Amino acid sequence: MGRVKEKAPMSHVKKSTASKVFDGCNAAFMILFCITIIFPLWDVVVRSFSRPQDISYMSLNLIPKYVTWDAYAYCLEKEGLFGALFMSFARTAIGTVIHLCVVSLAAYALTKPQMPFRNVIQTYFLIPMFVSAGVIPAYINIKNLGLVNNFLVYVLPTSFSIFNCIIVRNFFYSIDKGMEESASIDGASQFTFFKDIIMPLSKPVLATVALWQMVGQWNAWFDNMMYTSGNKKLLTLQYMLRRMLDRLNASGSSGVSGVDAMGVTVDASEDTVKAAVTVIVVIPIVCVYPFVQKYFVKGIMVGAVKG
Amino acid sequence: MAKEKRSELFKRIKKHRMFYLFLLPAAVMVFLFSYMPLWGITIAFKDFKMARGIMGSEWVGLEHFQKLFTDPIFYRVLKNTLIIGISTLLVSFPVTILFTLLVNEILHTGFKKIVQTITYLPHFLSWVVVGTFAFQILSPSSGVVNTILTRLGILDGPVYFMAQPNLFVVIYLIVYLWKETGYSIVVYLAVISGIDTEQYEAAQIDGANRFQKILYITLPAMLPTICVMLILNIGTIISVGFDPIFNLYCDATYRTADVISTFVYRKGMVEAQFDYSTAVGLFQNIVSLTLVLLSNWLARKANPEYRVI
Repeated sequence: MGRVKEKAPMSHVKKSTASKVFDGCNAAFMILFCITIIFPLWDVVVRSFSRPQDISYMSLNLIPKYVTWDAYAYCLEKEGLFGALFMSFARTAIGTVIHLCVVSLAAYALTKPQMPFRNVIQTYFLIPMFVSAGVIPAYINIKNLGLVNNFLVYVLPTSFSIFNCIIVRNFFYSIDKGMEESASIDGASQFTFFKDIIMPLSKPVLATVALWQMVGQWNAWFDNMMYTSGNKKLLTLQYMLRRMLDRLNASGSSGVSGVDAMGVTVDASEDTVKAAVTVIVVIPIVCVYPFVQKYFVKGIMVGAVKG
Repeated sequence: MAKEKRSELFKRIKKHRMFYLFLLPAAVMVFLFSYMPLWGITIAFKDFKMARGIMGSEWVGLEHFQKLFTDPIFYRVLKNTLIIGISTLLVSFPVTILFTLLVNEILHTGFKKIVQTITYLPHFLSWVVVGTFAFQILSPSSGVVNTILTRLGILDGPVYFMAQPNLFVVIYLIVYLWKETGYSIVVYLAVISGIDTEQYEAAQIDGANRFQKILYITLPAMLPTICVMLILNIGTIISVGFDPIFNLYCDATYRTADVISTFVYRKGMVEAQFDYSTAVGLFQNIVSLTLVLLSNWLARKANPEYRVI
């Protein structure tokens, strides 16, 4: 059993020179690739703490010459950073909870082989995987439903996913059936059984789905642009960043500086402000991700094995 | 007899009534946000006026499709879509497989873990963030690429890479690979971890070197999965994602960067040509659905055990 992990058992054999050279090159390549991933993250942190005049062409800016919080202060004052941060957290939390409830309830019902019309229902859920209306009909539909500039547009359309539903259902299948037969009699106890026994037993798969949904909600920006760009209160971090990108593309890299309400000069170019927002957008992902990585990997395995 | 059957069915429905209730929220959501918009597709055949609604607008038959097939911009967009879609497929596949093999050959477990953790990370960043990175790294005024290339004497002065139409596809591919290669190896690594270790030991005794082991054991074991993934991805050629393009292109690069999904968005949401852009979107969806069904059928032929769901 212990050997299962070791896929290339060569440690007990003397390595050839070619093999050693290969190992060296491979390690060098991997380190280089990792640097290309870490560098932009580091670069954006440095920029966010720099004064605009210090970020210049022909220098690598590996450490800020002069550390300043100006860009962050500017975001807070002028760009409504706090509101956007709150909105991003709100949609992530609420959206994930709704998603988990809707998906796990449906998934549990779909484990019942005796349920009449089960196949019809499954087909009903599967068809949208192949047929979608497109952006414009979706927009008209949301408008007709009165969800334009409404918070619900962040959490309702994302509340169900057949892909996640199948993954959760497959996990439910693996839970011992005998236990259930002895427990369930009428409708009320069916729900209690689901809530008190099935759900706690399914923590691993629920954690995976919750994390996927959290990343999806945190990273979502298109719905903000499409449906809620008219309501400043509903601005999320991602779309805030997206709008900065738009402005930058439209104007070239021009500096903005101003005087805030306290009379203190706020000196921050678009570039450092954008960097500050990027840092705030990325921080939750980078900080949480290494600890929950195993759930993501586990989840895609379940997905790859298919039901 | 029939009556008996019916009452039996009724009994079973009654017994499961709680579970229908369980399904209700999901069914309602799918109806509201997946089925109801389908009704709106009809505006592809109408002269749509927001004020008159979908029902009230007049039918114009295939007018929008006639316009579509005579629109030179549409052909440009279609060409870009195919170029980007096909080149992504052709480049990302070999790169992913190669990267899987290289990661698998890392002998030091700790180092392997670190590499995997770091290379999976970009997958979890949004395309807005990745787009921001691309514009920042390639910026003519402060980007690291311009700095290094100028210092090395390769460039005479700053180049605005993101605004070069000729470079767009290359930049897109690099950024796409940067973001997705790391995470896309997960499926293949799962396959490799299922290979019987004894095969490698037997090969060792027969005097096979590392390269031969990869060629004759690892790769053949990966082949069925590679085939299925390849076939499945053919279905996505026409539906080049909106997110990556939208966050990497700018006005200056429309000539080579504009794809169907971004074109549909701009025509519809920016220029408010709802009916025409719905027609363009419908064209894309039909081609895409055909490709997906075709590739699923092929995947099933190649591997009878394979099922879509």
